[in-house]
Amino acid sequence: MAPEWAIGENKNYQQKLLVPGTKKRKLFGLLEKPNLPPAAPNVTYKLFMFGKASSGKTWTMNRLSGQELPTHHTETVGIQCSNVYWPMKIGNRLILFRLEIWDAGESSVKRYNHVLPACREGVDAVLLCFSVTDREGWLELPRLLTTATTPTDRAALIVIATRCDQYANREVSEGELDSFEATHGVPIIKLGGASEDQSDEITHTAPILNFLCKRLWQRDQELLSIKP
Amino acid sequence: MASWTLVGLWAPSGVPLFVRHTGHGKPPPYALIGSLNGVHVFGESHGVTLCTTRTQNASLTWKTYHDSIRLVLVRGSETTGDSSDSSLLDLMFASLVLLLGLDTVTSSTNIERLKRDIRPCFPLLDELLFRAVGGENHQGFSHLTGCAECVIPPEHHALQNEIEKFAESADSTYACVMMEGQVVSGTRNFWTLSHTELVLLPLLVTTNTFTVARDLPIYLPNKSPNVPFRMLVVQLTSHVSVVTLCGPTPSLADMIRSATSFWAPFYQVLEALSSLLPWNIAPALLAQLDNSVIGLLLVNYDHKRCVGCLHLSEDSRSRSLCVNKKSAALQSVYRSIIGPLLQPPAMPPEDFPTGLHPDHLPLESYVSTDSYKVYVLQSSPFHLLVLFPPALPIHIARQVSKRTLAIFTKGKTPRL
Repeated sequence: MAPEWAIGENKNYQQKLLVPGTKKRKLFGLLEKPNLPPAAPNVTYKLFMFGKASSGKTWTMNRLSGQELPTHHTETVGIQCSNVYWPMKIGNRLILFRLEIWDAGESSVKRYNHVLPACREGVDAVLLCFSVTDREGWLELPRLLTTATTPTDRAALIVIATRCDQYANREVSEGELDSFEATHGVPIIKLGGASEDQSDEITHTAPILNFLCKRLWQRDQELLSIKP
Repeated sequence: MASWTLVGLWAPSGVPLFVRHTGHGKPPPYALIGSLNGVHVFGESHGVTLCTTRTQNASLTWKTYHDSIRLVLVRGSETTGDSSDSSLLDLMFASLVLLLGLDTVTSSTNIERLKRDIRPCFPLLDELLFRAVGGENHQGFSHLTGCAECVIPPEHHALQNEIEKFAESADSTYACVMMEGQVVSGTRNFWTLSHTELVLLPLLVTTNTFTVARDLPIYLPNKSPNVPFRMLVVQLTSHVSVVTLCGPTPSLADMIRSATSFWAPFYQVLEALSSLLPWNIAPALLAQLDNSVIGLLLVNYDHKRCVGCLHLSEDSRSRSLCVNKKSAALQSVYRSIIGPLLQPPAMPPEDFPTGLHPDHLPLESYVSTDSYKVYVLQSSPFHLLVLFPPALPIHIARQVSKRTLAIFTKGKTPRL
């Protein structure tokens, strides 16, 4: 197992994720992938966005995939799925992570019973979204935490706090987040600031993606070591 | 700049369900919405159905669907209402049915719930409004023509066979390859979908382009208003996606897998399609077009297809007319000519004033303004609108238009 310090980002290859000549991230179709050395192995992980309606799931997904951020809330219809490519250095090796992020609209989940199982099938990590401007959502979070993963999938669990830039509307304090992290033993990623300089989006998103990939990689190593 | 507002009301009680507004100004206040409904109800109680009216600075259209949903379209700063307003409302109502199903929309017992249910339809309704108002980056003609917006690829038949095979492998008969909201190639059954469905399905695909795969539960407003289908949209390259209408299987994950392996051998073909952008027609056709043609719209009502080209002769003298203006020009000419003067072969409006026409049917027409000329040709089943710079003499415009139509229609198989 690679020691933690040996897992790092690889700035040179991050350029390959952009539309040439711009700082905008390219949307790779299913038949495409970033132009990395062919020797670099690909690893795919399935992530599922979980959380109440209007907690910022689609926003987070678009933020991670570097696409245009929705400015106002519209409810997602059905299931949507994004691919996020991220090159990482693990030890001396370059590895291309592909994060398949699945997101489903609340009303579709309720109306159609195929939606949730499709999202949950074979999931590697669950991203539990909540908005810091919604006190009720925060109080419900411990309950959601227990339903987010099932014991059989052994998925990694990461909590995402959205709308952290809306200080005026904030209803959950920084201290509360910290103590939650400590008592439940799950990391919280704080997101917010749609107005951040979009031209340099990748630098802002890099720490989050590094964190997610590291977490997923470590989970793999742990699962491997459990097996006989 | 015009403003368009769509108001949705629950007809039996008059409760407003939603308001969508685009363009300048603010959406109408609550009191005005109440009055809009009041006027209509007043007429109803006297045995009169109020369809449309004009005020000094707006044109209004009412339409009630299944005695349950009443839609009101308000076009501000424009007083020339026309038959296309009513068909736009039909598309708006069909959008609700598309995402919710006819039963949910028309026999709801809980109005608050219905209000919530309608919210996911907003992107689609807004897209229709944006297109109608001629917003930037919202060009398109399908909402006017009632036909699917297409591109004309060079090797049509190579993809045609593949999409049929792909649909079969996914247990479906409705499938198409789409590029940036336009249909490249569809299965035989795909083209049996109704006009409304062929307009709305591509629009729904374009309302969210940031994802690689989607599983959308939808109803077909004409074919299947109460039994849902699953529309699986898979993005193959950054421009090209494949859309399939499926039953309970395959799952989205299976579809992603099978689409990846099925289309991988055709990656070069698909990627080459993006060279058609932004012209939407094959280079061989493009080369034949006259330099004076700065934009065109071709509709084939029999095949339910239309193609719009707005990026023609961009390098030359037409620089003054931007894409947005070209689109607005073609749209406005379409609205004023097709319907009132030239009969659309496929969709004659119900209230078509047959008495208006003398014994002969007009076949050609033109509109000339300070900033453009548009020549309109009718040759069943085609309508062709050609946009020219204003200085071009009209007799030349006529000849060029006729030649342009021949480029697209002559040959063994028509190109559209």
